[in-house]
Amino acid sequence: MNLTRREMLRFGTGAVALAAGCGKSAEAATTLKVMSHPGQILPILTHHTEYLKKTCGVSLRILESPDPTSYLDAVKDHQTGGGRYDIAMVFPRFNGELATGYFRPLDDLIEKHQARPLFDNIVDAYRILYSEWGGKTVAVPVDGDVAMLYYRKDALENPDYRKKYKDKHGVELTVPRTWEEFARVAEFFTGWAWGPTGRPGFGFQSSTWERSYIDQQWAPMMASAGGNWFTRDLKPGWNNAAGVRALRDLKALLAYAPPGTTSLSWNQTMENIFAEDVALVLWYMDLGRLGMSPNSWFAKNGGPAKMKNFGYSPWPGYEISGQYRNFNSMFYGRVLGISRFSKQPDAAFQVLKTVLTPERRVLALDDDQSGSDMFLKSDYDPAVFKKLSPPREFLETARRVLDNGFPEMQLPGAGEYLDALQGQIHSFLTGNESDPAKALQAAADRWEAITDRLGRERQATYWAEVTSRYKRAGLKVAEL
Amino acid sequence: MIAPAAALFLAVGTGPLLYALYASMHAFPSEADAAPEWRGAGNFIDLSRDPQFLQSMGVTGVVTVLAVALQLGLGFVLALALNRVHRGRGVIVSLLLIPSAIAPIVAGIAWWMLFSARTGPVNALLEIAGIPSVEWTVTMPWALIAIVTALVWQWTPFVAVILLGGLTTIPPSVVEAARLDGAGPWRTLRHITLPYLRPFFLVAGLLMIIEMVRLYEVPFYLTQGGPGNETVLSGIYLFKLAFNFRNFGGASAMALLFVIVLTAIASLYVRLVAGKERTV
Repeated sequence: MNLTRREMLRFGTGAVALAAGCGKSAEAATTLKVMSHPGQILPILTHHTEYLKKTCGVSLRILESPDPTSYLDAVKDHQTGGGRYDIAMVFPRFNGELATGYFRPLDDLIEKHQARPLFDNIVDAYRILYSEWGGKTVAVPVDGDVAMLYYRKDALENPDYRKKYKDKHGVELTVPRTWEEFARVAEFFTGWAWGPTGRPGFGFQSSTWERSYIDQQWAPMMASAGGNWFTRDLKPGWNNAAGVRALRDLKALLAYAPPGTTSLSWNQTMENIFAEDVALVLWYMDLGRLGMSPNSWFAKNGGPAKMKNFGYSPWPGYEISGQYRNFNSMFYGRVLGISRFSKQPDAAFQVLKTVLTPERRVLALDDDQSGSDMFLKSDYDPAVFKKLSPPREFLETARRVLDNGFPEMQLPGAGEYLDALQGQIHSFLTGNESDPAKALQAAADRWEAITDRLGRERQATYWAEVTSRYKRAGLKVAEL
Repeated sequence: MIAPAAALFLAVGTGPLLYALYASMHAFPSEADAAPEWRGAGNFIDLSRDPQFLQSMGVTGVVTVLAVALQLGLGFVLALALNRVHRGRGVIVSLLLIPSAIAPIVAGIAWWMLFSARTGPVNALLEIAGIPSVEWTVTMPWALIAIVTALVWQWTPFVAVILLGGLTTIPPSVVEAARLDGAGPWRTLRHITLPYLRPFFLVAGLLMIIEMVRLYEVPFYLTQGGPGNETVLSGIYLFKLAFNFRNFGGASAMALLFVIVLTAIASLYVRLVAGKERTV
């Protein structure tokens, strides 16, 4: 469902408000155990603890679980017969594992509590790709991660540099639309002092290249080049020219990145960005949403003043045989689901309803200490922000990139599939394997073994379900 | 009288082992209410064909040999030095035990920061010395060297304390007699000190081998198993199998193989060290 801004505002104050609140279903003096990621993710829930207690009689006992182990904690709860959590927060990459056994379908609760308008207010990409499984709603998004291209205007829009670029390459210096253009622009801004620092600058910086995150950068490129996670018969859909091209192009970009970039953490790449000598940055929404706030964790690097130099754009893509495809990394994000073992599903659903209610949701969104990015249609309206001041251009681009968001692989076994891929991508990018085709073949062999072990037919059925949602979400990914 | 104790031992000691045996022969699907599926030897066969498993065993072997050799060697040197200290030895020993008392996760994070390519003090020192900096955690063999360095730092003092205990058991009269017979420091070390310390080396070595084979936190936080899969040690792979890959059957099979391999290594080690002792 595509809403205009006017419709969205009407939606936010009308039908959505009707669906919010506990109403007759308020639970009396109930305590729920909620597993949440820690740190900047906690405000997603902590903003509502008093409200839920007062209006619904629901107390939250928040049990923090670090990002890497939250899935493990959910699995342990599942494997030991439940009781540990009523609600769990996980990355949507694990939907395939948890929606088939641990998370309870929500559809009956949505109808019972008349919450359909709240779910219709979720951006289609997140609702279809990250909330549903097997034709049922199984979770709600609470953090809408998607990456975009941030470019320095003082570099790409400088008339002298534009002339210099045109003299060198014979084409205009513009925001790159293809990965070939991206590499050319990145190379152009590498090795000379074009920025305010007087130091030789760099062309490119990505969020992080740590082993367990490294596929976030490659996978959208692979899909843009005509690949996919799987073929119809469950062969790896990236062990082909598309996968190799993306891997080779990605490695070539390393030459234009600050030194040691493959071993940098999230924080260190952020420091590089605010060091003001990187022209093109591929990063997540937090940068644009929080960067202008003087009190956010970006502020220690001088965010607000420096953020004004950034422009916003979708990721580049590939033009192949006249067809242009580009995808933006929709990796991470977070969802909340209700454990099927919970004895208080109605009370738990009140929590999900609350975090989806626009006027409650905005508390976590418009918070300079919160890491929860936009995922409701109403989140992209500049008027909802009172404390933060994300630029309108940023919000519009953030909404637009979701039309081409490339989601994480979600089949049962996602953790193992992705680990096999991450290992080989990391090996190639760090120079421990020199042949991209060989690296991908090694990962593909592992994927085949995993698929055989988990049951090819079973996995193919799940993959058909996933691809049907790709189609519903309008994802123009290659069908192999 | 012995029955309650035996029952407790059976329940606590062998119960989990028997469940691991059961789990190693089953698969556990994620679907709700799906019963475990019988796999027989399937999980063991999968492991034998799993290149990642085989690689993890190889890397673990390399790390164990390097780390334990250095821990025993440096620990021995440290113990000899400590043996000459008479005032304040207790305080020094207490301080030396700090690294082994630190939570491994904290040690892993601390060493990750020390080896950070951009901001780490190790590279800063290299640069001062005019040596190009190294991307410690993402290139080979540096990632392996970083892991071994951290493990040697963490456990060498512990080994030294065990060996120091051994040194204090050597009767001074024996050393004095050797000296009167004209034995120099080297001959005393070779023919008196080392034979006396052999059982202490045995205990320290065995403890370190077990510790190294079970490693998880320090190497994981240092390299995440990278670059690629080069430093995915068997402890890391076992954890991944169980909880990241949700392959409880495979993880149980691997855990049982661990028990068998460790028992074999321990037996061989005891035979080698204790066997030599009989010939002294």
